[in-house]
Amino acid sequence: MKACLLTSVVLLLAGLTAFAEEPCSTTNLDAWINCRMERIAAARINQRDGSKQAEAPAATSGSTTLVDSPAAPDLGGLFTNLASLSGISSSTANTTPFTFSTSGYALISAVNGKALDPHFYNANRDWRRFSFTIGHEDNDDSGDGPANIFGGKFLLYDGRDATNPRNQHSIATVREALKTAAVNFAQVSGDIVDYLFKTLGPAFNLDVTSAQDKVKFLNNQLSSASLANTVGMLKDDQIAHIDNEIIANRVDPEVQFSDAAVKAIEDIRRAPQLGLNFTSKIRPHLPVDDYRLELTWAYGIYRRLDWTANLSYDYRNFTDVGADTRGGRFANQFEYQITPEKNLKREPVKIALSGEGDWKTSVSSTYQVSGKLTLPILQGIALPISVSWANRTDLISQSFIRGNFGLTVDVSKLVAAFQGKHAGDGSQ
Amino acid sequence: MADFGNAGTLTIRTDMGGVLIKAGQHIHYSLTVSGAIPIFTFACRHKARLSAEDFGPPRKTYEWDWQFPADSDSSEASDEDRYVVEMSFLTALKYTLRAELRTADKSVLRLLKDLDAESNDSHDKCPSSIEVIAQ
Repeated sequence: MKACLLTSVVLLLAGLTAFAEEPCSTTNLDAWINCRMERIAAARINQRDGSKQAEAPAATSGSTTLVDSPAAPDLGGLFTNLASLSGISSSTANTTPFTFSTSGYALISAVNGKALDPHFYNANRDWRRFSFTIGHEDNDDSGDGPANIFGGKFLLYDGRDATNPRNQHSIATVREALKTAAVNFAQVSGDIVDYLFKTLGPAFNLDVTSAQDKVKFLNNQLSSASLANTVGMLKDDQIAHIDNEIIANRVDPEVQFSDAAVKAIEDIRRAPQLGLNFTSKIRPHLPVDDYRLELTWAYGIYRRLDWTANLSYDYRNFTDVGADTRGGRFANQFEYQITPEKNLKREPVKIALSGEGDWKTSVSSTYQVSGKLTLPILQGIALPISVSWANRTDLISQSFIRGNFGLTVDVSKLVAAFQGKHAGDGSQ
Repeated sequence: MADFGNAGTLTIRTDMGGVLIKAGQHIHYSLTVSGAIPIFTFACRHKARLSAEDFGPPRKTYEWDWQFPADSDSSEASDEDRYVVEMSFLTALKYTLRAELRTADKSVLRLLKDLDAESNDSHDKCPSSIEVIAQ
């Protein structure tokens, strides 16, 4: 009982801490003013009212996805299955795939180290259409033993690339909003500086009519080193004057920029993608190989709801004459992003429902449904957990349930996160 | 706590808040960008003066000069104005901003700004401003 009470108190305190407003950054004057403007703009907005596949291809039994997305991470992605729980008690339950994917762009940018050079990024857009996957899995539902995985993706159309001409209108809207916001920031920050100088300047023996003294005040009392102490001298009513009299009436450009940015991000993320994927499973110890050629389609239906569809041709090649199987596959996934990205310092939580039908020669039709929850643990690292039900497997004609617990790493996001952390460590 | 926006970090080497300027001097700006498409605006209290698209196709480094008094807003009664470089992270990851006070013959008198602004959040933007007062 005591432990329960203590836990409740800790959770309550943790919750209150999470919702408590942090003080504005005093890294420099611009950051402090920008923070106050953003908070007032956020209040106004409140009053008024991720899609690249780092997982193993769906063709691998231990993949946590039933469908393949058209795009792969720009620099690279890793997937491994941490645990696989199956309702069938055979050796096929032990499936531990490990795959690595990378793009053609990653390879050419690795040569010259210009991956994030805007000119290079824009000039080599087509290299991001190609990606490759290699991997290994111990076993799959067929029970044919270890297989090496080789695959590739070709993006026929990528509406989600920021450099796609389709997205230039959204970006232009943000540019225009930024122009207005920049002029507004110059005005508001200028007025705040004037107010701070007139209010606090005399306390530092500065002449508030002197231009030289104003520059001294800006470079000394409002410098990064002294800012926290200087603004700490402000009384509550003086802070209220800054917020209510100087900022509050002029946050419209901030709100308009925020609206334009959110709309641009949604437009770009909802844009269609069409890809052609190829996956093969080559078994070195058995004369049985699997090949899949598929068309993949992704489209944002509404805001954070994404639809992905696959149409595949599957071919299983046996050495024995006449034993080959061929067939088609159609799969759909609807994924909903539960948490908005802007409120988190990490990737959003996602939930997905998917269904798949397989129709092959010599084998009865197979139908699967699956549910997946993707939990982010760090920027670029996520834990996808899936549960799937199938009416049968390739081996046995009885329904079964399988749970998969994986780990995905998006190298480009991870690198960006580490760069940000490094920069943060060095900031004042 | 982010330095700006949801996930922004600032690395400041030099960040002057104000500068006195004489006729014939100018401020030289240099902005180096990492990412896909740089989106930034250089503005004063009166108008947006320069934006990324004014330089043509996206590039890694943008440079421009602000001349005094030729580029100042003469309509102002007082000889002071505030200049801001506002940077959006919609399609960019990092900006490095440098600003130098220079003489007519391009000799550097003083380093005014030298800072990195980084963010992985596309919603973020970061301003960097300076008060310029005629001497």
